[in-house]
Amino acid sequence: MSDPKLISKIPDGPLAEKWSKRKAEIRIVSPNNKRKLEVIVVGTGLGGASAAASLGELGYNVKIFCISDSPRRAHSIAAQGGINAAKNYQNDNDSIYRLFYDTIKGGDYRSREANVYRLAEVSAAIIDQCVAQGVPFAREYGGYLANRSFGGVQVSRTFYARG
Amino acid sequence: MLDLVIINGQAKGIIARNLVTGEIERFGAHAVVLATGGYGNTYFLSTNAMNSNGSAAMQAYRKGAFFANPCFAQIHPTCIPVHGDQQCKLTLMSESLRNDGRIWVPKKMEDVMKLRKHEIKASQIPEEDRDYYLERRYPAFGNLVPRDVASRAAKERCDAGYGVNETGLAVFLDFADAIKRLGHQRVEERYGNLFQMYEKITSSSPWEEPMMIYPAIHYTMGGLWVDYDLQTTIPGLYAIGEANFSDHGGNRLGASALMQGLADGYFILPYTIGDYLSHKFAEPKTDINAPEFAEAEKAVKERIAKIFAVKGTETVDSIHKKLGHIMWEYVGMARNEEGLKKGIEEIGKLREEFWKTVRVPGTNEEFNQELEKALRLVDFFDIGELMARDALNRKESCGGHFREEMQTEEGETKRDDENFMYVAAWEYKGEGVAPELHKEDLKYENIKIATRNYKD
Ligand SMILES: Cc1cc2nc3c(=O)[nH]c(=O)nc-3n(C[C@H](O)[C@H](O)[C@H](O)COP(=O)(O)OP(=O)(O)OC[C@H]3O[C@@H](n4cnc5c(N)ncnc54)[C@H](O)[C@@H]3O)c2cc1C
Repeated sequence: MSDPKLISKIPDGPLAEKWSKRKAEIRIVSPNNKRKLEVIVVGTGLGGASAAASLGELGYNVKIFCISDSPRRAHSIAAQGGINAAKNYQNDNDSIYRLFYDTIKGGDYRSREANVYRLAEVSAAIIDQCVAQGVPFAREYGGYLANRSFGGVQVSRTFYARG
Repeated sequence: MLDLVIINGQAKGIIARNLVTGEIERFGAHAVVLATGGYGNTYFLSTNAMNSNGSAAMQAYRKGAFFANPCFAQIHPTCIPVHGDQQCKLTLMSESLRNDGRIWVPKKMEDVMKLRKHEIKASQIPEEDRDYYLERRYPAFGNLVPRDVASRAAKERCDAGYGVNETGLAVFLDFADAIKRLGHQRVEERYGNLFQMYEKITSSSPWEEPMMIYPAIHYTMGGLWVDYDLQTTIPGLYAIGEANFSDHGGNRLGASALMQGLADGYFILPYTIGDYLSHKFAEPKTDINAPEFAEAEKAVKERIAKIFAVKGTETVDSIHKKLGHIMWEYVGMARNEEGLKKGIEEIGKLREEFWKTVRVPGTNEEFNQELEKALRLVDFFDIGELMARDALNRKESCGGHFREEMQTEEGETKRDDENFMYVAAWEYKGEGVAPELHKEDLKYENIKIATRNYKD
């Protein structure tokens, strides 16, 4: 039994349907009410920046904070290797399930199934979002997005920018 | 941000210091999102940016947000080795290099000795005298085993005496085969920037001689405990990105941090926060003149004054460096009960030393990076101690957390699923008081739990 102070709010139902279920239950705020609400976001790395931009686009009033001379200089810019997504562009039998499985196994069975499955599920949309924003991902000669591999996996699912 | 403001149990704003003028300011809101990154710099030397820190998470922790799995820190196998005492940062060589690079040390001790004396070069050691130890131990994944596995394997070889540089703390990452197989141009396209960076730092060319690499602190899987909606145990306070603990368990896979940060920021938080805010739009704007803001501001000002008042002789960095040594020694790549207890004790002593000997020049009312660093170091002491406590509690080896008491005959991690298949969430109980442990059980209904196997 988990500690009563830790209510994880994991939706019930089959793994693959949990996030859809939660999204359907979540109340939403109408556009004219969003304008009345303020959200503070502390941090301008990829996490904070993507959240602040999304909340701003939705219509909330967002205040964002950082401790560097420019918000762009958050630690996130140091990333060298790339970003994973279960796109299966290499046709190497990648899938949401496989990314989910690799992540749980890689984490040595100490992460939440529901969270990790959701992460794998939304991963493909991240690449679409980034491409739409103009992220200069590396591409093959023919124009397709290129991939490479990282540790703990047997497929090639990492998108990267060529140095 | 130097403090979180809570009104009626809900996160309502922050206290921040204007970095240019030193002014302490109040900001109110209906909800607060922390995306403040990881706490790897507790170790002083890490691959993180110099100003990465755990302070915001610690402020939230002290105000009631639970901190989960602090002991899960990732040690990255491929970093440029430490080369002296004056260093303040370590440089990562991307994991992508392991797509084509092969990791090895010599088989023969005499070659090791010659390498250390610069009598031979790595490229002169014949193929049959090289130990490609990852390919030998983990044939199915070879050089692409996860980071914790690769790091421990490097440590194992170096502990056995096979380290290839003067300090004995380095292994080779070799591209000769890749260059032969793919040609100079293809390798250049893939890794040219990394080769250049390596050469600039070490003045050795990876085109001619293999890189020398060694593990270093890189990422922290632990962080603020969040529920499925990414909300902490404080209503209205959310944590995303590396700052939360959510998805990576005992070890994160490469290229999954950016995936998680962007998943949280683009596609999860913007939906889930609506659930909380949908109750809030009728509420008036948060009043920054509320007594809770005044109190938090006062506490921040006192903290700053207390630091200036010490007027000792030591720089912040010199004390942080000592904390780094304690962390690496006792809460590093291999941990044991005795060492962890010693570590906690040493951190306590160093904290006292800090409050007696630190010197922060200048004033609060100006751009003062020494003050910024001092404020962070105060929090690093607490994070370090919390990491050690959590590591002491977790009497199993799991992912990046390796308890020497719990290993297989082959030196692999030995989990204890019966007793430790839980998230350890720590609740702050006051200064000088031991935090309280809460457990969230982990259930695996869709995946078969197994011992990690990267051999076949
Ligand atoms: C060298 C290196 C290479 C990496 N490469 C990869 C990679 O290729 N792929 C991958 O997936 N991951 C990689 N990682 C990991 C990944 O970069 C980080 O986990 C990720 O960028 C963290 O993003 P974040 O948005 O959570 O936080 P960060 O990018 O760390 O941003 C933290 C933000 O919080 C702000 N902040 C912190 N404290 C305060 C405070 N008290 N008040 C106000 N603001 C504050 C900072 O100014 C900053 O804006 C790498 C890490 C390193 C060190």
